[in-house]
Amino acid sequence: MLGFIMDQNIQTFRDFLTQYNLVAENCFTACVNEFGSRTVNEKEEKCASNCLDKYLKMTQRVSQRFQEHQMLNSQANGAPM
Amino acid sequence: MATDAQMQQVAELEVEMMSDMYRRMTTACQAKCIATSFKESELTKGEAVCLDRCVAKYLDVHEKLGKRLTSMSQGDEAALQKLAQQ
Repeated sequence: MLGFIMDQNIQTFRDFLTQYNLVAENCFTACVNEFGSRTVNEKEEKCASNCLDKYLKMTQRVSQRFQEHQMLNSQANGAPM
Repeated sequence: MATDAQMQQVAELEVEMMSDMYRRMTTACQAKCIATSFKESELTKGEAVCLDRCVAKYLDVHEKLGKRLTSMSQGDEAALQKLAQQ
């Protein structure tokens, strides 16, 4: 049982870290394009922060629509929810 | 007959494939709907509507292709059985 709980948490943590890496990669690629200075400028920081907020809102919306679809599907198939 | 362990494996695979599909869908719809300028942190109206339609269409295509693949592989199996009988 302890092993099972551990496995679940490790998987959740792994998913979180993977998402984190993915969003960092996407936002870096979208926002940082000039390398005249070695620090992130205000514009790039604002862009990256907007990028993260938007990403979270996007995943939330996609997840809602997906859940609705799953719900309709299982109702149509007469499966108990 | 399938053992409990095999059933368990199939169930795990199904969950894994579902989350893989979900991940791919999210990436695809982001690429198709979200502007990369990030001038603001809110989803625009257009982006939100695009996401809704994108998810619906992605799942639709996923389902349709699944049906086709299933019928194709069933057709293959039937053909193989016919061959074996000859």
